[in-house]
Amino acid sequence: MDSNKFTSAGAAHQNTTRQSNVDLKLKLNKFKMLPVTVEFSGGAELLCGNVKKHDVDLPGQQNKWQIRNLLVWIKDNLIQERPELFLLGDTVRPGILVLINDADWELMGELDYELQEKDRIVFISTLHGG
Amino acid sequence: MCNVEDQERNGSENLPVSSSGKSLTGSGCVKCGEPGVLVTRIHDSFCKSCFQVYVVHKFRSAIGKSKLIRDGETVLVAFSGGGNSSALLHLIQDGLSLRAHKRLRFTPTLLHIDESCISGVRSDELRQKREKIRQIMIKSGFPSYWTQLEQSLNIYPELSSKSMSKSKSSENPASPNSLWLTDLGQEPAPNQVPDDPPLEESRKLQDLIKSFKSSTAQEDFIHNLRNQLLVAAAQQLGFSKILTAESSTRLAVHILSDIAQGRGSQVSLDTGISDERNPGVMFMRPVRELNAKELAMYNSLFGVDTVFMPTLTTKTSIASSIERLTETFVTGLQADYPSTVSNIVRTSGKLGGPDVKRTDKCSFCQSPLDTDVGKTSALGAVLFSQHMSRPKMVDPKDNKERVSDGPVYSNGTHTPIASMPNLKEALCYGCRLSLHEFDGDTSMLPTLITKRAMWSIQERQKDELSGYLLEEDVEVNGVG
Ligand SMILES: [Zn+2]
Ligand SMILES: [Zn+2]
Repeated sequence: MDSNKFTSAGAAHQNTTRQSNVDLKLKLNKFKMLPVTVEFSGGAELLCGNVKKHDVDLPGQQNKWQIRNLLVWIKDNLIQERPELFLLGDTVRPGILVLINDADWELMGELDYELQEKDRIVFISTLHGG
Repeated sequence: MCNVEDQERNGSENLPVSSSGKSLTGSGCVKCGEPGVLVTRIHDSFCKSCFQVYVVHKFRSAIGKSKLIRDGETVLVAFSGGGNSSALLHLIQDGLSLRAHKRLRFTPTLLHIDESCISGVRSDELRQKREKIRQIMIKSGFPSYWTQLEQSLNIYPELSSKSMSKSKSSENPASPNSLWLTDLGQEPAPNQVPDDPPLEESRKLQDLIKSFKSSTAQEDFIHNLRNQLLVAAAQQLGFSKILTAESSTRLAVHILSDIAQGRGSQVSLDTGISDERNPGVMFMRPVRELNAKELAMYNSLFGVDTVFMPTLTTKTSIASSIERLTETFVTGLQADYPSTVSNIVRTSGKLGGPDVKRTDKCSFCQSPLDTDVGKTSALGAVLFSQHMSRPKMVDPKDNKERVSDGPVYSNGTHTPIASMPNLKEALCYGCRLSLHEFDGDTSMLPTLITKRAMWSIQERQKDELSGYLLEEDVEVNGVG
C-alpha cells in the first residue's frame, strides 16, 4: 500500500471533519485505499469519455472490495453515458468480457472476486456496435 | 504477459468461489492441468498455451477442411481493424511464420474499407484510428489496399466494357471497374494519413443511407453494399477469394436476424464456411468456429492491437435494430447457456442452400431469387398489400403489374432507371423488404443496383412477352 497516498488523503479528510477525530483515525487505519487499474476496450471505452485506461484509488471501506462493488463504483464514477450498455442488473452486460489480471473472471469467482492491490481489471466489449 | 503467474498469485491467497457456489480450485486447464486463463465452453478451462493450440486448430481446420484454397493461392483478407479481423490477421501471420507447425500455403493481401462516413462525423479521433489501422496493415508486411465505402456508389456492374470516369489506379484492365483503391505499400510511409473520403461522395452515401427509415434496413443495406464493394475490389485486383472474420457469435446473430428479415433462404450462404453467390469471387469464413469471447481473449493474451470504429448502432439502445436486438438476445442466452451459439450455428449448417448457379439473382445481394413462390406466401401477402395501395397499376385479371409502366428516365441523364415497383421485381425478398423502407428517389440508389435491375427486368420482359405470344397462339388455335 502506498503510504503517502494514505496520509495525504487522511489529512484532507481530517480538516473537513473535525468531530469524531479519533473514530476517523481508527477508520483510516483500518480502511486503506485500494489502487487498481480499470481498462475498457472494444467500444466499451466510449461510455467512459473515450478513455481506455483508468488508474484509480478505490476509497477504503469496511468490507473487502469485490468486483460487485467495483461495478457500482464504475457506474457512479467512470461511466458517463448509457450505463445500461455496460451493466445489466448487478452484473456486466452479456457480451462484455471481463479479465482479472489477464484471466477470465469466470475462473476468479466473477462478482465475488476480492480485489487485490494493483489488480488489472479489463472490460472488453465483444458486441458489434460496442 | 505473465497471466499464469498472476493467476497463481491470486489463486493461492484466497481461493475464489463463483457465484454459483462451485469452488474454482479444480479449474485447471483441461489439457495439461496448469492454472487456466479462460473458460471456453461449460466447465472447460484452458491455460494460455493450450488455448493457443485450440484456437489455431479451429482456424486451421476451417481452412483445411474446406480444401477451398489451393497451395500458393493469393487471397484477399477483409481487414476492418476490429477484434475479429485483427485476430484473423494474427492467426494468418502466425500460420505463415517459420515457427508454425505446418505452414499455411496461401499468400494474403489485406483490404480495408473505410466506413467512417457512416457515423456522419469527421474528427481527429477518427483520423487517428484510421492512421492506426493503416500502421497495423503496413506493419503486417502483407500487400495492403485501402478503399472507402463511398466507392460502392461507383461500382459498375459486369456485362459492360464501359469504365467509370473516376480513375486513380487501374490495376486490372480486364475489370470494368476502376474503383479508388490505394496500395498502402507504395505510399511514402510517414505523413500520408489516409484522407477523409471526398466530402461530396460521403454526403451522397449518407443521404442514401438516411433515406432508409429504420436502422434495421440501414444496417442491411450497408451490409450488402460492403459485400458488393469487397467483390468489386477483389475483381479489380484479380482475386477470386475473400476471407472475412465472422465469429460463430456473429454468425448466430446473422442466422436469426436473417430469418427475421426475410432472408431465411440465404442463411446457409450468409453463414457457411464459403459463399459462392457472387460469380467469380468466393467469400470464406475461417474463424467461424471460434466465438466472440475466444477471439477477444486471443487478442488480449497475445497482445493483438485492435481499433474500434463506431458503427450505425454504437451507443444506441439495445433494441435499435433487429440485428442489435438479436445480438442482445443471443449473447444473453449464451451467458446462461454456453452452447447457445454453437447450437444455432450447427443447426443452420444442416439447412440446404439455394442453388447459387441459378441465373436469376437478386440485383443487389446476388442471392438466387427466392420470390418465385405461391400467392399464399409471405411475399404474396406483401405484394398484395402493395397492390392494394396502388390499385390503378394492377391488372385485376392476374394481379400482376402491367409491363407498360416499365423503365422511366430520370431527368438530366441518359441512363434509364427502373422505377421502384419494377426495381423490386429484380430483388430477393430480403432486399425488397429493405427497399420498402426506402423513401428517397430511385436515382439515389447505386448504379450497381439500378443497372443490374434494368437488365434483369428487360430479360424478363422479353421472356414474358414471348410467353404471352405463345399463349395467344394456343388460344387462337383452340378457337379455330
Ligand atoms: Zn494447458
Ligand atoms: Zn437481395
